[in-house]
Amino acid sequence: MSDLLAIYTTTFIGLLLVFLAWFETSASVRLKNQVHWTNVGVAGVIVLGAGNLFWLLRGKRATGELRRLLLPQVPVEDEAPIEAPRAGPLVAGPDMTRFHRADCPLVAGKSVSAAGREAHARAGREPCGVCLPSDAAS
Amino acid sequence: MDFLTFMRNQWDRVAAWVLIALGALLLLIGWLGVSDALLPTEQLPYIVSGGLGGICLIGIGVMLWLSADLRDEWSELHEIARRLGRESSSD
Repeated sequence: MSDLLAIYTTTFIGLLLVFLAWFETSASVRLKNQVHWTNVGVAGVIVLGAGNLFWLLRGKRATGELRRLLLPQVPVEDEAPIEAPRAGPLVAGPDMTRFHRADCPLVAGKSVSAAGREAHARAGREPCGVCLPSDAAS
Repeated sequence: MDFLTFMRNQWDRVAAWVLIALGALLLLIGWLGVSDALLPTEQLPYIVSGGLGGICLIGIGVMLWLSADLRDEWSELHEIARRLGRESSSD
């Protein structure tokens, strides 16, 4: 409740200061006076922004605390067994610097040829970081 | 979902978009006013009303939008808490 009061108060004060600044700058023809009231307007924006930021941070913290409280209580389903690395040909194109599994999305539709791991290594190619052919038993 | 139900459930997101649009409009009006004015004393009121006013409205709009996201997350967490409470009481 106090957070709600804080956001309403800071928003109201901020808008009031900006309105007051506009009212006074419009009413005055002296630049010095106008700059003074413009500063008041900037202060209003800062008050409003700080209030809004405070509100969001409080909300984020509250949801974070509730999540931390709840998550340990949520029953965990049995996790699916980790799929064993698939064996298969290791492929690469002539200009490629990495070699891939044949089903890697990074070589889909590209002209590639299969070769052994040693052949790729001799060509100076490294294993792809997406399909992880280094795990493959080839 | 009809229009009224949508407005009732998503009032903060609707208000956020309205405020952001108004803020952008205010910035545009301020820019046009400053462009047409020659003297700094004529330009400053536009900077304060259009510039600062527009920034305020956009800021409030963004805050409402993010606040709506947090509210959704909060509601989902409460739903999880409610279900957990029901399960533990039935055990």
